[in-house]
Amino acid sequence: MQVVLTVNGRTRTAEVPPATTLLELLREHLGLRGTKCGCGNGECGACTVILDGEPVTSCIVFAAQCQGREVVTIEGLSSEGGELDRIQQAFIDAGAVQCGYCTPGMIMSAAALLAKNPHPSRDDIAVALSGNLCRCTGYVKIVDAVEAASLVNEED
Amino acid sequence: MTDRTDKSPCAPDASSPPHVGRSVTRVDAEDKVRGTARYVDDLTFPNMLHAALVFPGVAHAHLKGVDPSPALAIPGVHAVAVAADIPGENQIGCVDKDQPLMPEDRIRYTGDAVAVVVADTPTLAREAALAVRVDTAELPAVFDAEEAMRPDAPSVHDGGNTFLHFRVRKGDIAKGFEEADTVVERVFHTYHQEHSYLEPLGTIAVPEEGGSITIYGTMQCPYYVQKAVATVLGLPLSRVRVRQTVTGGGFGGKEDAPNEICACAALAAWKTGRPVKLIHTREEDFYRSSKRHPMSVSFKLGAKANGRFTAVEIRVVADAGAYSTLSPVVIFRAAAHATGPYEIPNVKTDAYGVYTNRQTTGAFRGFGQPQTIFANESVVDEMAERLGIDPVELRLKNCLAVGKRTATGQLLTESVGLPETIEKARDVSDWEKKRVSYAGDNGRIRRGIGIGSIYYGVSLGAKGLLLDASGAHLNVYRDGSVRIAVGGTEMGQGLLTVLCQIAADSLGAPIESIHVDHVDTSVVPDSGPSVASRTTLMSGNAVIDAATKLKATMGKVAADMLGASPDAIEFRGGFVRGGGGSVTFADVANECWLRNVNTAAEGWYAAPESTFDENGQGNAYAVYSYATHVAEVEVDTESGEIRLIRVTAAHDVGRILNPVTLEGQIEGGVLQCAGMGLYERMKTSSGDITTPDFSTYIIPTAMDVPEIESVFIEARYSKGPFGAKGIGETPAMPGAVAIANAVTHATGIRFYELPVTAEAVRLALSERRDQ
Amino acid sequence: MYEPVWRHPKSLDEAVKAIGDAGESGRLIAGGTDLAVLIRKGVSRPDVLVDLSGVCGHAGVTVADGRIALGALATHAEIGAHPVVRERAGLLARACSAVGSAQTRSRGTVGGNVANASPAADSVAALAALDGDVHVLSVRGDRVVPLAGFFKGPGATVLARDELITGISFDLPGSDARSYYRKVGQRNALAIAIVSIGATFDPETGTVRLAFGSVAPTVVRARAAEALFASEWGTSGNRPALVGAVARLAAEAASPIDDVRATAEYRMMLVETLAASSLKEMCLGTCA
Repeated sequence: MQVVLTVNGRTRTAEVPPATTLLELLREHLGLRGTKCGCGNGECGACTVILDGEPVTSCIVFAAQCQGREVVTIEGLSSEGGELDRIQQAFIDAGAVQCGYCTPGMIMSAAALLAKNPHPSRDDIAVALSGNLCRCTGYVKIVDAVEAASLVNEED
Repeated sequence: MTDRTDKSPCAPDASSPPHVGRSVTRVDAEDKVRGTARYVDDLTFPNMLHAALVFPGVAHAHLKGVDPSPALAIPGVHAVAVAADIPGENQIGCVDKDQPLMPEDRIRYTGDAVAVVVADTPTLAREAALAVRVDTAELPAVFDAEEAMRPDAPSVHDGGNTFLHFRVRKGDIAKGFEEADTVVERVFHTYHQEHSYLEPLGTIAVPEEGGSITIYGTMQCPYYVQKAVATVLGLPLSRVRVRQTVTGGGFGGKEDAPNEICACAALAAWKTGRPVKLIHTREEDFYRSSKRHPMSVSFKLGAKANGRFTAVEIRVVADAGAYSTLSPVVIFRAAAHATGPYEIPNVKTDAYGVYTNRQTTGAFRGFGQPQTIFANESVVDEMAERLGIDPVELRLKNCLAVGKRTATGQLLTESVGLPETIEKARDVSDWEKKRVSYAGDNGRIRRGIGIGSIYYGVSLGAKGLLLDASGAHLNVYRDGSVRIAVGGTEMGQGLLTVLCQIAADSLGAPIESIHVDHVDTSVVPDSGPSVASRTTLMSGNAVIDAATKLKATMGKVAADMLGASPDAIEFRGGFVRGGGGSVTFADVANECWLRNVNTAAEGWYAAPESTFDENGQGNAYAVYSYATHVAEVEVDTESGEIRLIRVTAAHDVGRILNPVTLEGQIEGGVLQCAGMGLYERMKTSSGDITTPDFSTYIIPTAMDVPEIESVFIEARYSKGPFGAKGIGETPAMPGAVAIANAVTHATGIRFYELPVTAEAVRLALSERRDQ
Repeated sequence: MYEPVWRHPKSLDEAVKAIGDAGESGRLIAGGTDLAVLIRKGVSRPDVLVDLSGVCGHAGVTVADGRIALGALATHAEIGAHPVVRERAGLLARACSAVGSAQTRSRGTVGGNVANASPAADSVAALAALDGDVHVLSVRGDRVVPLAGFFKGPGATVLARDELITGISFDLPGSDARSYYRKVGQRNALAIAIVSIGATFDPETGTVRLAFGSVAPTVVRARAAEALFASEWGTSGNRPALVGAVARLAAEAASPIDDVRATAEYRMMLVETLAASSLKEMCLGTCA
């Protein structure tokens, strides 16, 4: 089965078995291994990517349903080795990273939130991130980071 | 954001080390936020195959046969490895030799795997695993530790099920209880908990030239894995190289379990001659990894009317599951600490480890203590109520301090910040005011405030001495850059960053020039496991040892360069000074290179001797960390729902090495306490896990977070790196019981099992209404 | 290896034809938040998957002729954020916002939530209290099934193999109508209901509707309790007492079981408690 879709602004084409998930497509076929698999059931959020502007758990989205659609992954937030996105930078500055396995999905959920709601309250942030499990941080510094990122003027 | 260094009672000044004690940015953060950090599942090797395990799914059975032929008939399946393929010994036990890699004749729990299927893709391997025919004959099974102790219970192994018994005997409890004015005696229950690290277990085994093998994997204890793989493949240790990959959380769950998965992949790689990747699904991970021990704890405490504790009698029964794995170390710790952090003259503790046909249990942050803490800190609270003494005051009256003796008779001579943790937690939480005002709530929502205090013997103590040393390898290149290898693992806690700080300050090199690698067993000698809050202490001291040696050799060259006496040379902040002059660290490194002087050094640190005799008396651990949490809750008396609103977490860490990573550890620990206190229970039915995923096994989300106030106390430890003690476990220990005590304060009802769920609260409230 | 055949219809006509042609082992898939998990776990392995995500004119929320119509492909996020739903049918907005996580809400659809027929489905308890109708289409034509008669048991509905849901509609509640939704779960997010309640109160007619999730094989309405309320509210001299009696009677609609989340005993208690809370808040204006 051929899938053609836009990933991080580029048109990509892949030949995949029909039951392939978006997560497998990204990781195994397109080599984008920044997106992680934590549970395979859409319950932990580690595989979160942005699909047509919405955060989704890519482990329970079939590649077949992404024909012609637009996906942004953690690799799409900043160019390779280039300047970090404000959310990525805020995660570093706030000490929001520990084991790091939830981090890419967490950042993508935050990116989806800030795109829609540039000035979220801490409660808004907690709601938006509540589908992303983290076992290391206790979430405090993650919410700090997203709040700090929301205060960074995008023009800067 | 607040200036985090303010939290240090010892504010930095000119004489403070330049890096230790400051919030140096994590060295691995950028790779992790970019998604470029390479976890094991992100790696591939040429010609790599994928493996999956075959689980018969029965709890106790004779294994009569394994027929791989239907799986082998599937195109794309390359091999099926079974126990008979094992070239070495079929044994992976961590401490006791009771666990085969794959059972040959008897299945003892639902996590036992009997074959490894190797195929072109992970999906195909998993489908083919279902095609392997397994013939079993079920045996009577036992799923409860107390039942398993009875003489007529089915035996999980040959011989009885009770395979561990630790005793602590101090003073005379008969006399102690006679002296008591009040005695409280209760029984407490806790259940299986799953670590729920976000990265599941996984490994890649790569056969190498010359008959050796390299194992990549997510793990806490590479030297355990090295031993297990060498044993199973019948290889000398020198031919098994283990490289820890970036590890997505551990919390104790990646201590023993990697032995199994890595040895399975190694066997498959050995059989096919190709690299083999084996990654567990979340459900497999639930079945296959060790849990927190379910425990029943009978706790009897006596006290004088003035609050002085006179005697304690404790019986702990721990469900070890089908194999012993780390139970000998974990249950020892439970026994040694079961009284709680108090000086009690008369102690009798018995702790038993018992086999059952359930998931194996091992290390989980707190290492056997959170279960007994729930008992002792609940009873102390109940005692306070009975005596009419404030719970904080009762704790202060009895708590350990310098000059006091622990339950094992150990005289504490330094670094005991426990009283300060209690006082600070009381003051910062505004305990005295809230204790009164919350008690006045009489609406649907009732508030409560509760406390829990703990002590924790850092590192492995008397039962882990063979493992209690650690190495480091420091290499200074001619340009002054430094590469460090250690035997302790980074699993998310921030070790690499803290070691950079320690290395920078003990070597006087610029911190940017230092790089610390993940563990490679071919570089550093066996350094034991990364467990028990020992890693910073052990690896940190090993790095300091190596740095001291390097400074001695480099200092001579520097003295020559500066025309100063070697005694006058000082390494600090990237410069080497002496005789009124200074050169850069890099200049000295280059000069050493020009003069053919060796600038690599080995560091080593062995833990001080500890003892534990047949009566449980001795210096069980070299040093202890201390903590007190105060929790505040709101209880909805209609639905029973509990909202954790605030936690004040006061920790004696010896010395703060990095305030932000420390605070991160504490906040994460506080939320794990919330999980244990309110949500988490892995349920089983006839050996099957009925909560094998994240929709049924409930861990806290971002919406379950209380306000968290971290408070640091620095009671320096003279043998710790810059005075530091371990911090890994303690944040996950006092909170659960503090929450339970807060719910009791809110409702007037005491709970004897964890978690305290909304259901438990609601049922208890209506029972009381009915009375 | 599991290798399903995909169909990607672009219109409702193509979709009903595709599911009709697929036969016994065909399944419709929209957001896939439930089905993809069942497929991965091997619980469901349909030979044909009819992907509804490309079907046009099947999504969104429409308000017209005194009705609110939800397209079957309307996502929980969309419904939860819709201004008219929030204003007039607050219980549905709250129910949709209580579904799983942001990721599930942006992907999962109301049609899928109904078709899936879980007794714990968050949106269904609200829709039941709104007296929703399910709009169904097949090659044989369309029909409307009241939600109350739609479910046969856990995972089972009256839908024939070749039928699909095109939408759910209900009367636009009056501007002075009140509503209540609450879910008691095991944590504050990512929670499956232990018990959920959707309730409405129309002060003009003096009637209430009470629907419960996770207390029976399907979402249930407390009809006897509703009838008691309707017959007594207008004339009652002691409304707090009436509310208590209605709540007690509501509990009789429940026939819960023990599961990994909670016991039947606790669920029974919650039904009465939540019924009473909802009535107090909606009808008496008191937050207990």
